[in-house]
Amino acid sequence: MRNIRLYFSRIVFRGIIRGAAIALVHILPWILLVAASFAFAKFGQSELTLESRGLLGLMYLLGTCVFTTSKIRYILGGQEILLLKKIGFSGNELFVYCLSKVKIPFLMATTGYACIYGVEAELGWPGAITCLAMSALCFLWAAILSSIYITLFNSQKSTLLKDISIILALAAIFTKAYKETYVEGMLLFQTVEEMVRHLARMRVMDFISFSFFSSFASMAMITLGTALLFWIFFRQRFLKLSVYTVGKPRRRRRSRVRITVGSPLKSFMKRDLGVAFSSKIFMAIQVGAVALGIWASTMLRGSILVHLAIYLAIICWVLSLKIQDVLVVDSLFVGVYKTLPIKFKDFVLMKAALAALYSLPCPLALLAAEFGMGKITALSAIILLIGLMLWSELLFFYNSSIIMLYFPKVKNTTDMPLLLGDFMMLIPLFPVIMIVCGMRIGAKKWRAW
Amino acid sequence: MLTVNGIKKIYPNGKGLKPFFLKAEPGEIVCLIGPNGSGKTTAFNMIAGIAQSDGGECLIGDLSTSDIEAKKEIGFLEESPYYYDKITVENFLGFIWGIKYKGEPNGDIYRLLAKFDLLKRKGYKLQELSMGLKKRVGVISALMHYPKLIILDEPANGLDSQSLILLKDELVAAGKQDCVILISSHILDFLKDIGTRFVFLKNGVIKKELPRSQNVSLDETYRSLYMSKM
Repeated sequence: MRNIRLYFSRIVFRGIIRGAAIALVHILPWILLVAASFAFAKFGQSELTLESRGLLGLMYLLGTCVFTTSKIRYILGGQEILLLKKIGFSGNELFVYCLSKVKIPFLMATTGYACIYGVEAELGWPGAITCLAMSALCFLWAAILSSIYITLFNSQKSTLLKDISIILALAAIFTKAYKETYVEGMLLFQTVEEMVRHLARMRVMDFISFSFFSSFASMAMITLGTALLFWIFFRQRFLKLSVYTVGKPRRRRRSRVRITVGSPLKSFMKRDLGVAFSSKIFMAIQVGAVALGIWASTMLRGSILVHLAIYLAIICWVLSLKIQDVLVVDSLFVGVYKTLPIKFKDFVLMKAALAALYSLPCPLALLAAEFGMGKITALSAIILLIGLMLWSELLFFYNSSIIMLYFPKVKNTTDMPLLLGDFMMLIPLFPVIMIVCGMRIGAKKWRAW
Repeated sequence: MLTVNGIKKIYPNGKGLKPFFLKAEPGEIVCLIGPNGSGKTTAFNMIAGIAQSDGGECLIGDLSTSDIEAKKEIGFLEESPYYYDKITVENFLGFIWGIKYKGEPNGDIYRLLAKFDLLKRKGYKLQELSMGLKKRVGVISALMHYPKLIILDEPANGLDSQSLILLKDELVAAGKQDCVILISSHILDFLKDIGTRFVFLKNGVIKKELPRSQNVSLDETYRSLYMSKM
């Protein structure tokens, strides 16, 4: 029993260390975005208001709550907790174990939220620290709930966490309003009255309705566009991207089986998109990224370089969050892959196509919105479009070449290398060398698992 | 036709499979019998081309089973398959079909789903299925499209009586479609009903081969080979 406890203590310790690394990987692109926004606000002509910047933070907090609740639900639904309970782990120990497991949202919440409010206060530390504490408090709420959840251990109660995340968001809005309106000596009733007045003045609802309308309109456009592309691609076969040659029936008895001309790409797309769209986190990222992008696009006036920086940051964000998930699914399919005729180069090409589908919708929606609002010319839009596609693919190949060194042990071993990779990317020519070496090694290891 | 020509694998602990030879004609159902650790799974993995052999070769027709193109002709069910379970039954089977045979899944998948009583559950995620139902999905993935070589490692584990009867029917049907079937199980009665040849393995070596006949007694043979010292 002592050994088991030691083993799990080590897991907790390693979990926290690794969590720090993951959080850094995840927030780096985010910091880029915020830094660009800050630099522009400082040196450019910014129309950023205090309220809208605060709202950006609240949106981030909401996103974090979605992450946290999904992650907690996932952990609590697993067999691991059941096993730990059976071998006599107490509620407190399970609680700590769960904390180490939800490291990503925790660290994202604290560091990311602090970054946002750092911008709000124009890098004034007191503001950032207050909000750091506030977001930590919010996380604590979720963690306390998770402990209640462990005690109850009833999956039907999962909706409770969702409700609490909404309450947290509302609490955050009121905390913010309270912070800005509180005057010493005011009665409680007067304070509440003043808070409501302040909230009314914030014009928050205008912004929310605008950003949601824009994001939903963009998502609808993307869905329609993607559906059209799929129809052209798979039904009409105007584009011949099939990586396999057309198979022919080898035996007479198979002639009665109708084998259509197609590509395994379709199977991968269907499977991976099915998995992705069943993930609330994926949807939250997509909708959140579009909303943030459109918000940034409406608030900022600047050169094409500033816009490009925002697009690239969004791509980085979405890709760095999802790149591992894309390949984690594949690593869990290794047993099946061994029995299937999949070549390494075909596998990578299919994944590259998927990565584009994963990462491009948000920036493309942003691009369309900017072009629609007349902020950029048609020529700039085309240049940006090509640049985005190239950047997305380059980034995919770079990240996947790092992951391929470890495939199929993806999630547990690739956090730190990806973090290092983000820094090493800045070294001239390193990404190209990494892609060539990573892919070669990956090809050699393919099927030798 | 399946030709296994001297494949072998010796693990660091000295156990494994000694040079293994086997020939099977289309339509044959070859049953591998032996206690745990006798080398059945090792043999199956190498024949299926998913584990490397220390020597020898395994051919299906003229094609080595380790060749990537041969994978289309092999249906393999592992002893304890691990599947990514956040995917629906239909998507999982459709994925395998799409990679192997390209295009939309044809009626074969749905016929098997109906036969194994999974048609109503085709939209269920694998994580929502019991162990036995997952096993049925694995069996379907190995049998669909009747590949030239079907390898089933302990398919009876976790299956209920109804599924076992259906599996027997399906294997006999596959045999009639000229598939070579290799199967292992610890349930000797199950093997006796379907097998056309019985190969007894002990410590990685073939100890005995019996053809199917009215008088064959697997229990007696097993007793004499493996339990004589008890």
